[in-house]
Amino acid sequence: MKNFFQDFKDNLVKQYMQCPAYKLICDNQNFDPSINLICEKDIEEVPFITTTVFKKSAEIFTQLLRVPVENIDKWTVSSSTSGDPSIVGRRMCDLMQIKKFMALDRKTLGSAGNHDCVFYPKPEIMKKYKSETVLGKNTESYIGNILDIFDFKDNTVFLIKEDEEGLSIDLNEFKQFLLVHDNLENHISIRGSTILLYNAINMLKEKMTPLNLGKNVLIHTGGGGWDGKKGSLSIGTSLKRQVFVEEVSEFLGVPQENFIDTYSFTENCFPITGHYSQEYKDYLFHVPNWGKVIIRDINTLKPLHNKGDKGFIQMLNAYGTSTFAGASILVDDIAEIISLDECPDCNESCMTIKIIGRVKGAEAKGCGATLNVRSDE
Amino acid sequence: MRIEYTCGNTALSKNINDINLELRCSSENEIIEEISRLNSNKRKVHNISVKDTIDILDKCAKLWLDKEYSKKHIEVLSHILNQSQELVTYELENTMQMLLRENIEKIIEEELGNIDVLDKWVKTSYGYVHRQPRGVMFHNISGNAFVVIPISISMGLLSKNCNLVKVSGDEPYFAHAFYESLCEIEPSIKDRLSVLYFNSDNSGIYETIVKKTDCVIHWGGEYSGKIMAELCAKYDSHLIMHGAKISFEVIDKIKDIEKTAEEIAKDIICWEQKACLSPRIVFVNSEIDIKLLASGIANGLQMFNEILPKVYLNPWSSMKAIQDRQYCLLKYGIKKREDIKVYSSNNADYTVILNNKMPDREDINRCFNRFIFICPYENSDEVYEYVEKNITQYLQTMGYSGEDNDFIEKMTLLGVSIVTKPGEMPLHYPGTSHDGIHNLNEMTFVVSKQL
Repeated sequence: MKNFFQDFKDNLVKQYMQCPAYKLICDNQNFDPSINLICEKDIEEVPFITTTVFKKSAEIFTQLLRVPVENIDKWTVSSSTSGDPSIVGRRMCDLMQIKKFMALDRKTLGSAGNHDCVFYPKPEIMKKYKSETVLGKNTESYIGNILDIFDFKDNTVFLIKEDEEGLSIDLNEFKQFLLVHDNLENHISIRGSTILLYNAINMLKEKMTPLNLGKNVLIHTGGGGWDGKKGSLSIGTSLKRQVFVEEVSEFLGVPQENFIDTYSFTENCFPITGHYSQEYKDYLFHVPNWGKVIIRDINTLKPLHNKGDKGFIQMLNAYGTSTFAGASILVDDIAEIISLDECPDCNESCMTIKIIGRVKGAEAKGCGATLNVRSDE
Repeated sequence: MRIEYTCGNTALSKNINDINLELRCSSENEIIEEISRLNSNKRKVHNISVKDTIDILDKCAKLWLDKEYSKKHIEVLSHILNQSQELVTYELENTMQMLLRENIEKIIEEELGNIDVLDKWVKTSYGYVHRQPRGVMFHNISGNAFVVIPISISMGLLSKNCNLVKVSGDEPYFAHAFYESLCEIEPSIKDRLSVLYFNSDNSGIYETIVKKTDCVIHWGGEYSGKIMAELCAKYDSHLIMHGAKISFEVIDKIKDIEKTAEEIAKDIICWEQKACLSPRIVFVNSEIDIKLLASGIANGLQMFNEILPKVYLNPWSSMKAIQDRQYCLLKYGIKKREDIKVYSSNNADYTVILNNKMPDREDINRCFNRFIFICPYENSDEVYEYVEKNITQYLQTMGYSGEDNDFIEKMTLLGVSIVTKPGEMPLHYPGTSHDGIHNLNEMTFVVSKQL
């Protein structure tokens, strides 16, 4: 990880040579990274792969590998709100790269507390949850793998338990955890799924009075869910980040500036983390110097460069995608540019963005027929 | 924006492409009252001459063709439909021209054989013939191609029926605006026309309506079409079905590749391919330089985009086109190892997929918003077999360039109901059939007098 541009170019050239699917995309756009990727500005011309082609239903995920299937270690799968997960082949070397990023990102992720409380199952359980075998390799939850490489302490409390009916939250354990640390200003972290944490807080509100955990607590959410859905979970309505932070902050007695959120998705490699800004009433995500984000205009798809511009998110990976064609990914989320070079809230020198949310839509309707294929087969 | 229909007291909020609409929803009882009101007007409506209705429709068409009048409606429609104002204007002008006097007169003559037959008894070899309306007619209108609204309503009025029109939740504006314009010209139109909205989830209302009306004309939705068909069968109500359709083009012989490509591009752009008459696939004789044709269609789409641009009021339409384009490229190019070339804009403006094999059935569903497959054939039997296997039950318009009358005969036997030149797929000349029927003919019944 020395020179992002050169490393990115090397990664892209290799991807072009190793993955015929990506080569076809490039050839169709008359783009050859060896020839057309000369300077940093050229990065904006790099063809992307859309996240939907990684979907299980597309049946193309095996073609998006850069190594033979037998060489991959596992298939990492998304939590699949739609019931159609993304499937991305990975080797341990790529997962270890994410671990390196996490170590480098320690400043934003917050120093490890003495006590961690996590709204996820234990990594091993999460990884194996609904696992199946595809072409001789096991599928594993992507989030499970992220949990696995995260530096949790041995005394970490994982609140989601496996039982006969699947997974369930141990609300009593959470309640006990909170009561033990109430009014003590201990160094603790509460991490995990936004929806699960929010639901748990709402349930506890009916059973106990607000707490005062204090200024040494980190509330670290991740994995999205702000549209009110995550995997098979739903709260039936979208969750405003401001509402989440204000309500949880008030109930737990934790300052709003101690809230952080991580944006990551299965087809990408470098997670980005945002800290809550009371001024912006939102999380401000820092793009680290080991990755690059381009925000593309919804209409023209051209790169945007001004504060306040909103568009689709393209993520460029120089590292950690040696197994699959993940060097340049266009995701169906929209973000807003807060600053190209400095976070206005904490003054860190980095591109800063705000995640607006998932592109939502409906299929075209009219008197032109939409064929119902399933019913006819 | 609040839309007050003929009846309805409950407000329903809808946000379509960031425009907030408040629709007045009718309850079952309000609809029953409305049907009863229309029923009581049957006799009075029957005594209105066809000439008077033509006058109203002609004035209405001219009103909408006045740019000052239609401006504000175009703005709203553009927003709801996620179509550019230029495209909506183009579609609206073509739609309204159909209602001009000379065109309406031609429609009646072509469909019913005689312009007087709705008003009087017309002499025949056996005696006299006269057309009588069916009574109260329920119009179940679809969303995205608003051309069906003036067609359905004007034919309902000309046929001397009393008309209960249910607008679509996807596009709940234009039917009401058209109704208002008719009322502006002739307030008594309310005696024979009622426009309303109700929540389609309540299928019980549909049953009540079918039970209490004499005829149903259904546009669009396959699922709701099946429900309407079952209800009409149950209550022995006459059903005029304009269900979901698919259209395509066959280019067997051409003189000028560039010109034909331009004409095909024109067909693709109209209604953003959401209409029943919009082409989804272009089959091309392999003797034609198909690469030149495909790139010509792409060039045509690019050129027309300057005049009739696409808009992206909803980011989904942009993202979906990009995703679908890439999916098809990889599916056919990598997974199926077919010979594929995509001619497209850098953004989502247009996608032309040239593939040496015909697309899988499910991918026809991707052909909206200027997205088209171009497929070569060695023998026209290949086209016949593909169409027969994949889309027989949905057939409507075939854009055709060539001289093979046997092929046309075969395709029309299969179910194609309109054959037209490339570039003319969106045009319905006065008197042409619609889904194999003439609406005026269906909306009336023939009375023979042998006295």
